[in-house]
Amino acid sequence: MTVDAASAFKYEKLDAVTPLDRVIFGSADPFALAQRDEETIRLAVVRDAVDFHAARDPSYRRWLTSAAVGVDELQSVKDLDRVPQLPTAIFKRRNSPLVHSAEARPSRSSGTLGTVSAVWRDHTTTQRLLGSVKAGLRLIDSWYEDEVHVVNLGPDRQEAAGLWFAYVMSLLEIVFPTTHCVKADVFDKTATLQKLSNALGAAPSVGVVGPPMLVADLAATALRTRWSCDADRITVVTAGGWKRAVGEALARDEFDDLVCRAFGVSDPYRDVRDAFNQVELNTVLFECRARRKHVPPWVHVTVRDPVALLPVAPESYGLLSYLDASASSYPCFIVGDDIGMLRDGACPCGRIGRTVEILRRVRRDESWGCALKMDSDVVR
Amino acid sequence: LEEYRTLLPPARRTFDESARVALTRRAEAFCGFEVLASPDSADWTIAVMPPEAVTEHPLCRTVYVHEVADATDVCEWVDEKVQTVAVAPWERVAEMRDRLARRGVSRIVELGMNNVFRMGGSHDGMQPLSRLVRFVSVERPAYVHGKGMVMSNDQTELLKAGTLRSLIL
Repeated sequence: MTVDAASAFKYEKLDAVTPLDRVIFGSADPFALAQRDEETIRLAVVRDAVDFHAARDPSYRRWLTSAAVGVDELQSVKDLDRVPQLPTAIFKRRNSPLVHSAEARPSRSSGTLGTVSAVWRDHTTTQRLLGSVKAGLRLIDSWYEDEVHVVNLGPDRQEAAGLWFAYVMSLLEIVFPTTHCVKADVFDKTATLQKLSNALGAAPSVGVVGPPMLVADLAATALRTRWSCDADRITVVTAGGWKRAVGEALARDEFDDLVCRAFGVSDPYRDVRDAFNQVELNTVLFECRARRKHVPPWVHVTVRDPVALLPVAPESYGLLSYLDASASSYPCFIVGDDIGMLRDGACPCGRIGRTVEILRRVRRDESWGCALKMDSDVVR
Repeated sequence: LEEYRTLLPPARRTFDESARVALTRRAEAFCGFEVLASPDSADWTIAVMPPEAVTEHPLCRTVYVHEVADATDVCEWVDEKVQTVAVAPWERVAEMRDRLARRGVSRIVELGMNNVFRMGGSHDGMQPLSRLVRFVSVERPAYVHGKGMVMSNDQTELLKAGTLRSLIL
């Protein structure tokens, strides 16, 4: 039998670009949508994701059934608050009932609180994570790929492969020319300053990306060694928080002052930003100029009380939970250890939309005695 | 545990404690384990699940129940990290106490007595009161013929009789 290739192509329905991918990877700025459009998109893509994971993963289907939530009942964004989430502790379990495909690979957390999380991601999920980074960078600037050289205060992708946060930072090399500054777990500050000088010679702008502790270390070294550069050519993006160096954490204004003096930044609100991610969440949340972390349309955030995990009143603090439609290899419908607040409406940066403020992690050491407390406060 | 909400009311739960309990309850339920809990509060929780499934204990009167085929199988899950083993019914303690002791526990008590310490009992494998005390002995005089002694304790008389070596050796 002969195959008519032309007609085969003619009648094959390709699902290469889904509505979700159009939002994540499309040319339109996902943070510039009208509120009504944003809510319509959010409801549609999150509802599709719930439907998708209920069909794909029997454990999540059971969870949905036990919560008596049907996909057809999700008719408004408010209904999304009813979608049951997975506590992030599930990802710390070796015998988690979650199903993952053979293609998926584990992304592992640093285990700040003692136990390492493993989240299984396939290519689609990872690509969409990268899409969230590209989309989020719009909140900082609208660079072309050849306008920025990134100096990553972390290892390259090969070395970072097993560790989630380092891996996310290393992904920037897919978007921009990137120099990685950690090799075999060693962060050489003097060599990094040289790499920074080289990057400034190679591109009009340079992005310094890293955890705040390493950025602060590098800035202090720059000041001590009288390293200098032209004014306003460096943008600093921090991520990952202070973690075990929390005892050395600088207040935001102190950090700004240090970075501005070291790297010639005149406006920290423009050029010193923070980003948030956790291994279980498939979207990176970036700060705008007003230093609020904007939530893209494919993520629904609900703030919950700590007892019944029900939604709290608007602009109240509680546990942050996310319905992130961008993950295909696991149901990224999670409630975890972060305490924060959701704001909805006009942001001082000029955009309309939802922003999250992340206050701190739930403390796990308060009842366990002094050793862990000392470790979190003092030991690096 | 429900009765103890009134008999021995738990301390007021902080935000963090409540969150730990709520997240734990939800994680166990998602994994399909049976969870019994105080309604609308983080006062107490019971989860029935295999031992290897426990990751982080949230405290706050949370009890994990691990089912075993025979009560003595419990010993397999006990090592020196376990301070106290509570047994019920108490009549069965003889079947496992020696094995539990060899595994490294410090206390074996009747169920319900975990936090009720008998005077003079051991704690974490030692008798901590002894470390807080400087012992001073006021000893009986030479004329007291001590229990188990076969001769006088008077050193002078012993030397005169040439029997001190017999006392010492």
